[in-house]
Amino acid sequence: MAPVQKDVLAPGDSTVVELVFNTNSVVKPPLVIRKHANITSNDSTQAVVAINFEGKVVPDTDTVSTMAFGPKILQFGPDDRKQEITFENVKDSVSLSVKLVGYVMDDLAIKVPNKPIQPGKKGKIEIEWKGDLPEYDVGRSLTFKTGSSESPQFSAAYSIKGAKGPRPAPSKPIKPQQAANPQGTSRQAPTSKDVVKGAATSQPQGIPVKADSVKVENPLDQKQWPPK
Amino acid sequence: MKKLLIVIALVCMTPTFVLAGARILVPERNWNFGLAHKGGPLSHPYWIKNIGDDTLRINVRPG
Repeated sequence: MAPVQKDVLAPGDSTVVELVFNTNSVVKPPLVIRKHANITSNDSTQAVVAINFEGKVVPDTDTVSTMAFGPKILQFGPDDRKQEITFENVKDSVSLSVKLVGYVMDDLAIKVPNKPIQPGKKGKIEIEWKGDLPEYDVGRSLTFKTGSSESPQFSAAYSIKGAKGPRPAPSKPIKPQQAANPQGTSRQAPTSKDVVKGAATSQPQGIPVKADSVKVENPLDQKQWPPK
Repeated sequence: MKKLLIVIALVCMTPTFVLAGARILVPERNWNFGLAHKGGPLSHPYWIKNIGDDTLRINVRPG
């Protein structure tokens, strides 16, 4: 069942918006990125709510951080359902206890190491895509905690190849949509109508980030919401 | 005075109550991706709920 377009929430209703940042817009890593979007509403007590994210885009050969990980992007498809993230504890004073955080928008089974990764050692995260073939290509990320105070979190990007290839650009901006099944467990593929593109705001530290690198997408599934 | 205190106490003890008008709840507003490589997308979903007693109309735009 496809998501129902809706920007009106009845009392008790909920929805999800997804912010996406394209790291390819970072010209020269390392770069700390900070972005936000505004949710405007008819709530007389808070007409505008800002949602924010930040992160640090590091070079492929990152020698500064507590940990190193790869690949740059996991690519799932009908013939590539299993992928691995490998990471290495490159500092000699802390062990890394990797744990998935945040919400997973796609049908992925994720297995993290059940023991801390000691200094100088490597670990791997096994990920299996169990979903149906989406209509268009999907691009998202997974975020993990490490237990390290120096590099407390890291995110790995992934893509899922869709039946029709890249999603075509929408002809005009539309508003976000409400999940058709807020309490359900089914996972829905996005459609071309789901994407809202707009100018991004950026507070880069020295290097400008392209202005079209943020988009707002539709909700897909709220199985694990609200966040605890 | 005693009745007023009782009413206030009852309101405070009520675990959830509907607020007058449309009321937006966004429980998680900030997200930190930590380290990431250049080459792929970073994405995060944000949950929005109407906890009021009237219809909530929303619009989302990159800031």
